Amino acid sequence: MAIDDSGERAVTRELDAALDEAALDDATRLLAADSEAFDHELRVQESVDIVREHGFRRVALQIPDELFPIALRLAQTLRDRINDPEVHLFVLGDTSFGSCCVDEVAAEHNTADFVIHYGHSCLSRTSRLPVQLVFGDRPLAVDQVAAAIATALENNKGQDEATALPSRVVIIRDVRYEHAIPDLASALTNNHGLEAVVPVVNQGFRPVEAFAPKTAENEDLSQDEKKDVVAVALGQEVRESRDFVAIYLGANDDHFAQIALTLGIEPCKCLLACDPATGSCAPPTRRVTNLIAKRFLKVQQTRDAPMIGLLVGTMGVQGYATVIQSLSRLAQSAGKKTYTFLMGKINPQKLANFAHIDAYVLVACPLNSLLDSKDFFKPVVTPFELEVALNARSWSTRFELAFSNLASIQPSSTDQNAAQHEAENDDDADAPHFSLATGSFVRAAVAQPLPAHAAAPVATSAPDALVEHGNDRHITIRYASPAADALASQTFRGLDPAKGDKAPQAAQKGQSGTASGLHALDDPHKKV
Amino acid sequence: MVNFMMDQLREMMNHPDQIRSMSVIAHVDHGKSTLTDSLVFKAGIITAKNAGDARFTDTRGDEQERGYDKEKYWTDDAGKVVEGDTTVGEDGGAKNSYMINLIDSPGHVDFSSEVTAALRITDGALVVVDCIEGVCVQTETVLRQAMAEKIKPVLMVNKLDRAFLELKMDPEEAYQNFRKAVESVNVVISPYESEDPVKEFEAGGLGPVQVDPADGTVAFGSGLQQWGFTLKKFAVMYADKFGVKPQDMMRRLWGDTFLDSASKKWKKGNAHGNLNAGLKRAFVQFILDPIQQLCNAIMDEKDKKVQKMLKALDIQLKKDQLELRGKPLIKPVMQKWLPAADAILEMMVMHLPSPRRAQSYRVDVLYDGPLDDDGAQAIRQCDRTSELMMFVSKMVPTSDKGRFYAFGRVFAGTIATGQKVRIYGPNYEAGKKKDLYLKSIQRTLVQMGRYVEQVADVPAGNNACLVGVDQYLLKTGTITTIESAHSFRQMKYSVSPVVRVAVDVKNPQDLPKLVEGLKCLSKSDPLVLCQTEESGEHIVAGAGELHLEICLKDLADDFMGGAPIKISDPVVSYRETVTEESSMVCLSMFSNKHNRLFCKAMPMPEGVDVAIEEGKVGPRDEFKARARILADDFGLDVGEMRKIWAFGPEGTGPNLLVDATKGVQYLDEIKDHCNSGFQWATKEGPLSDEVCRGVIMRVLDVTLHAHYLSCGVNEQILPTMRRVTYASILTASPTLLEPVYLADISCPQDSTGGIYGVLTTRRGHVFAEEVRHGSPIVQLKAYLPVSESFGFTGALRAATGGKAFPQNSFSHWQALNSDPMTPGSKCNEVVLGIRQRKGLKEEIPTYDKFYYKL
Repeated sequence: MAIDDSGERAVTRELDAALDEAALDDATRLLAADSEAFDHELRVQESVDIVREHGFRRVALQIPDELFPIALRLAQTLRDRINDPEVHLFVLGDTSFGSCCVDEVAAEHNTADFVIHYGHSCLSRTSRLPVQLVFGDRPLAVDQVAAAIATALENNKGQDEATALPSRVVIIRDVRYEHAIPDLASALTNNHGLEAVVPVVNQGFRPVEAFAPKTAENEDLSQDEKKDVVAVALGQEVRESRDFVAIYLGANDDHFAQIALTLGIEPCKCLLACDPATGSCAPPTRRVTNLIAKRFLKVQQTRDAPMIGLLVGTMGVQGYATVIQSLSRLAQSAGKKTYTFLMGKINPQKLANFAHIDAYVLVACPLNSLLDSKDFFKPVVTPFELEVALNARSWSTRFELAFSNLASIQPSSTDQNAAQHEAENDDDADAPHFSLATGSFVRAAVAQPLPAHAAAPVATSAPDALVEHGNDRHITIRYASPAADALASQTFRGLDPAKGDKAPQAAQKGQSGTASGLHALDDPHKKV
Repeated sequence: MVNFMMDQLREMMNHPDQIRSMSVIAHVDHGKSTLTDSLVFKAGIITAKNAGDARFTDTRGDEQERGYDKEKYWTDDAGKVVEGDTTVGEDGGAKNSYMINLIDSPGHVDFSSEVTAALRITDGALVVVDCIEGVCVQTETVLRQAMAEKIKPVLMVNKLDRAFLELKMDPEEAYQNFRKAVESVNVVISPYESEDPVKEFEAGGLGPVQVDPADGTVAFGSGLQQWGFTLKKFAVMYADKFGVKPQDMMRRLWGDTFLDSASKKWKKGNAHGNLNAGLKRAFVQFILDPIQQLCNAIMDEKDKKVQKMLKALDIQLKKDQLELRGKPLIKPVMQKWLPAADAILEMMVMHLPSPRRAQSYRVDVLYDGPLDDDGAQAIRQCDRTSELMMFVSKMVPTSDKGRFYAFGRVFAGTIATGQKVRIYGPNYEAGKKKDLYLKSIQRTLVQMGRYVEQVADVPAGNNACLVGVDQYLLKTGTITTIESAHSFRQMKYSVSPVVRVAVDVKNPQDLPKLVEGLKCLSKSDPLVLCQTEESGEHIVAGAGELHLEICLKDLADDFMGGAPIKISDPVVSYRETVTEESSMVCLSMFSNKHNRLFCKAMPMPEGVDVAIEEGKVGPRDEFKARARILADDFGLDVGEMRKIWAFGPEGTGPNLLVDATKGVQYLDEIKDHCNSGFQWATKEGPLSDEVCRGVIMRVLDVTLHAHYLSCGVNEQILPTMRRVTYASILTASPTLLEPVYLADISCPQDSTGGIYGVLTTRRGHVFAEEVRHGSPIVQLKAYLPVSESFGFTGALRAATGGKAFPQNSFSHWQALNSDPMTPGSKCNEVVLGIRQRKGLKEEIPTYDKFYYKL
C-alpha cells in the first residue's frame, strides 16, 4: 500500500481481513452506551489522570479496525475531559502488524510520548513508550458461565478415581473478560465448590521506567515477563503441577488453539474452552488437536529447507531485534541461508514474491506467531519451531511463544547447542535425514561458504573453473554461485542479453515513478 | 552345516559365466517356497530331513506360521555350488560347477513390489504354476514384470502329486491341464518376444522366451515331495531304445505324438483320431503312466510290484525308508528317481543366461543414461576388473535395530571393503550434486539364506550386502566409481500404495520417535510410503490390507523404540477430477488487479491419465511427438498439446497445464510461477485436499501489465494460478474418483452364490467367471471399490464356509457418480468425511470463493 501514489485506494479499500464479529459487536455496544458507561468501560478517567499526572503532550490512541466506529467519540470525550490545549490527541489506524500489539513505530512517527491501546491485547511489553492498556469490558453473565463450567466438568468427569478431574480450575481468559474474572472466581468457589486459580494479568498504566532499559541479561525481565504473558501461557509452577483443569474463557478459535499448544495438550488433565458468547463449554475441537501434528509437519519442512526467511512481524515487542539476530545466527550455523523480511502484515501474496525461500520464521508477538493458514505456499513457523527444526532444542508439545523462553537468546545454551551441533557435524556432515514431509531422504543443507575472491576463483569442481572456448584462445573464469544456480533452474531468466549479437546503442530516456503509476522521466504529469 | 568353504564360494564368484541368478515367482500357494527349499537342500545348507517342511527361505517366523498369508522377505541364497555331471554348459565345455543366486519372492499380490525388487537383480525366473489351478492373476502380473525387465523365464508345473493322488486324474486329462498351463504362460509372454527370437539370440539378445517342454524349459514335478523332471530326463532314458537322438526324442515326448505300438510307427497330429483309436500320446505313455503306476503301486501297498519297479529303476532306499508304506514312501522313492533339484538346476544352467550374457542385453532396461557411455559399457561387459557399477535394490534389516544392509547386485567391477564410491540416491541427476554422496564402503558381505558372511570384496555378477550405506539411501540407489555414470533406472512397481492408515503416537512428545520409526519402515519395504500430509496426519500407505498389517506390525514391534502408537482405520485415498468442461471462463487476478489469468478446466479423454502414469506420455518427451500421440490416440487438439506447460502434481502427475492463449506477450516470464501454482493446486484439490487426476487446465488468456512484471511482482502469480485452478475445477462438475480393486476369487462351484451376495452388498460386481478344466474350482473376477474391501476376505470366508479366497490388486480409478455439492449424495458424504478427518472447514468451498467477479 505504501507505494500508492494517491491515497485514494487506501481509503476506499475494502478490508479483506475477516473482522472479528464479536469485536464489532463491542463497537456497536459502546456506541449505544450512555456516556457514563462509555467512560467506565474505556477507563477514560484513568487515562485523563495519567496524562495529567505525567504531563504527556502527544497521546496516541491505538484502536483496532473493529473498534474504529468509536474512535471519534472516544477522541472527543478524552479531549473534553483532559481539556488542555497543550495536549495533542491523535488516533492510530491500521497497525503494521497485529492489532494486539502496541504500534510503537507508528506512534513515534507522530512523536507521541504516550500510547493508549484499546481492545484485545497480547500484553507484550513495549521498549520505548509508556502505554495504557484498555481492554474494554465484554459482558459476561457470571452465574451462567460458572454453571456451564461446572456442568461441563461434570460431563467430562471420568468413571473412576484415576480419571476423576481435580477440583482446581485455572482460568485463562481473553483479556476482554478481565473485568469479570474476580466475580467468576468467587462464583465458582462459592456456588460450585471449585478452587479457582486466577493468574494475574498486568494491566492499566505501564510507565516506561518500570521496564525501560532492559536486556536479555537483566534478570528482572524474565520475572516480569512471566507475569505479563500469563494470559497466554501459565506460569511455570502451575504448568508443572499438572493437577488442574484449565478453562479458557473466550471463543473456541485460533487463540484457544495457541493456548492449547502453549499448555501442551495433555499436561493438564482437562482443557475446556468456555465461550461466554454462546455459553458452550467444550474440549478443543478436532482442528485444535490436529494443530500439533500440523505444526510438527511444519517443523519437518523447515528442517528440510535450505533457505529461510525471517519475517519481522513486530516492531514493538521488546527483544524482537535480539531474537531475529540470534535466530539468523542459529540458522546460519546449521548451514542455512537466511534473509530478513520486513513487510508489514503478512499475506500469501507477499510471501509468494520470494519463490526461493523454503520456509519462513515469523517473529511476532505471542498472539500472532502461529499462522495456521492453508494459503501459504511455504511453511511459516514460530521461532520456537525453528529451534526445534535445527536441533537447538528437543521437540516438546509445549510451545514457547514468548521470546524470553527461546533457547537461542540465552547465550549459554546456544553455545552448548552449537558445540553439540559441531560434534554431530564431525560425525557425518552430509548424511541425509529422513523427512516425513516428503517421505524421503533429504540432504541436510550444508553451508557452502562462497570462496573469498582472494583465495581463488574456486568453482563447483575444479575443471569448471576455467573454460576454454573452442580454439580462439579465449578463457572464461566461471564462478560458482548459488544464485546463478537458482537462476539457471528457471525457464525465464530475465531479458535476453544477446551478448555480442547487437551493436551498442545509445541509452534512451526511460520512465520514472512507482509501479502503480509510472510517468515519463522528464514530465511527472504525463502518465504512460 | 554348510558343505562348502567360504573361499571356495568366493572363488566361484569370479567366474560370471558359471553364475546363474534367478528369482522364483508364482501365485500364492503354488508351492514356490517348498520348491525352493529342495534346492537349498541340494546346496547342503539345510539337512535333508527338514527340506519341504522347514521353509528355509521364509526367514520370518510369522511367515511360517501363517503359510501363504505372510510372505514378505525374500532372501538370497547365494552359493549353491552344484557339482555333478548333470550340468553341462550350453556352450559346451565341462564346466561342472555352477553358482546359483536364488531369490525366493512372496506370492501374495500385496507384496508384488518385493518381486519387482528381486527381478531387478536376477536374470532368469523360475515360474511355478500349480498344475490344477493353472495360471492365476499373480502369476500373470509378475510374469509381465519379468518380461518388462527382460528376464528369461523357465516354467515349473508343480503339484503333480495332487493331480495323481488327490484328484486321481486320468493321465490324458492331466496332460491337457499341463498343456493349458504351459500355453497360458506363453500367452502372457508372447507379446514380449521379438519377431525373430533365434536371430536375436544369436546376436547376443534375449532370444526366445516362450517356454516349451520339448526344449527343456519346462519341468514337471512336486515341490512337496521334492521330485521333478524335464523331458530331457526321459528322452535320454528312451533315446537308446528308439535309436534317436535325445533332442529328437524330446520333441516326440510332448504334443500330439503317438506311438502306434502295433505298427511300431510314430504318428503326429490328429490327436482326436488317434485318441479315439485307443492310442496314448507319448507324454502319457512314456512318462505319466510309469509315474502313475509307481505311485499307485505304492499307494495300494503292492509291495512286490513296488520292489520290482524300484529295482528296474535302480532306486536304492535307505533302511528306514524301506519300512515306509503308502504315501510316506512316495516321497523318498520319487526323490531318488526324479530329484527335483536336478531338473531345476538343469533348466537353470542350460537355459538361463549367465550374468555377462544377460547384462549385455538388459543394459537398456537397467540403465538410465546414454547406452554408449562408460556406465553402460561397464554393465554390458560385466567385468570384475572394470570400474564399479552396483544397484541397491533393497534394504535388509540387520540384527542391530534401525540399521540396514544395502542389498543389491554388482553389475560391473568389484566392490570391496574400504573402497571409495559414489552413492546416488533416487533423485540424482548426472552432473549435479543432488543426492550424491562420496563415501567409503564399511564392509561387504554375502548373504546365504539367514546367514551373512563377511568377504573382502564381491565381483561383478554377484549379489552383495553393504554395511554403512543405509544412511544415504532410503530404499534403492546406485553405487559406482565412474564419475560420469548415470543411475540405474528406478524400479516400476505393478502395485500402488492405495490403502492407507494414519498412525499417530499416543503421546505427542514421542513424535520424533515416530519419524525414526517411519524411516525404518520405509526402508524395510520397497513400496510402503510414509509421509505426513498437510492435515498433519502421518500416513502409511501400502498395497493392500495384508501388506499394511505386516508393515504396521513391524512399526509397532520393532521400529518405535517402545513408544505406543495409535492406528486409524484404513483410509482410502481418493482423487479429484472434473467431468465436464468449466461452465464459464474463470478469472483470477493479482492483488494489484492489473494482471489477470483466464482459465478453463476440462476432463482428460479416457486413457490419457493411465498413459501418463505408465510413462507413455511424459514431461520429458519430445513435445511434437508427444502432441502427435495425444492427438492421434486420444483426440486432443494437436496445437494445444504442443504447448503443454506442465504435468502435475510433482511435475509428472496425470494432470496437464496447457497454454491455449493466442498471441500473449511475456508468457515466458510467468510460466514458472503458473506452473508452481498449478502443481500446488493439483496436489491438494479444492473439494477435499486430495490429489487431482485427469484434469486439463487450459490457460485461455492472460493480461499482463508489463510494468508490474518488470517490478518483479510476477511471483504473485503463484497464488493466483492456484485460485483460478480451483475455480475452474469447481465450475467443471467436479467429482471424486475412488480406487477399485480387481478381486480374483477362486472357490468351489457351489459357493459362488455367497460370493455374489457379498459383492453386491459391497458395491462390487463380477465381470468374468471361468471354470477350471478338470477341477471343481471356479475363478471369479470382480471389481470391488477399495473403500468396501476392508474385511472383505473375512466376509467372503464367512459366506462360503471358508472356501473362497480373494486376491485383490489395484485395477483402476472410478468416478463416484454423484454430485459432491448435493447434500446426502455418496460423493458429498465422502468429501465431508475427508474434510472432517483432515480438520478442514466443514463446508465445501464454492467457486466464487476463488473466482473474481469483474
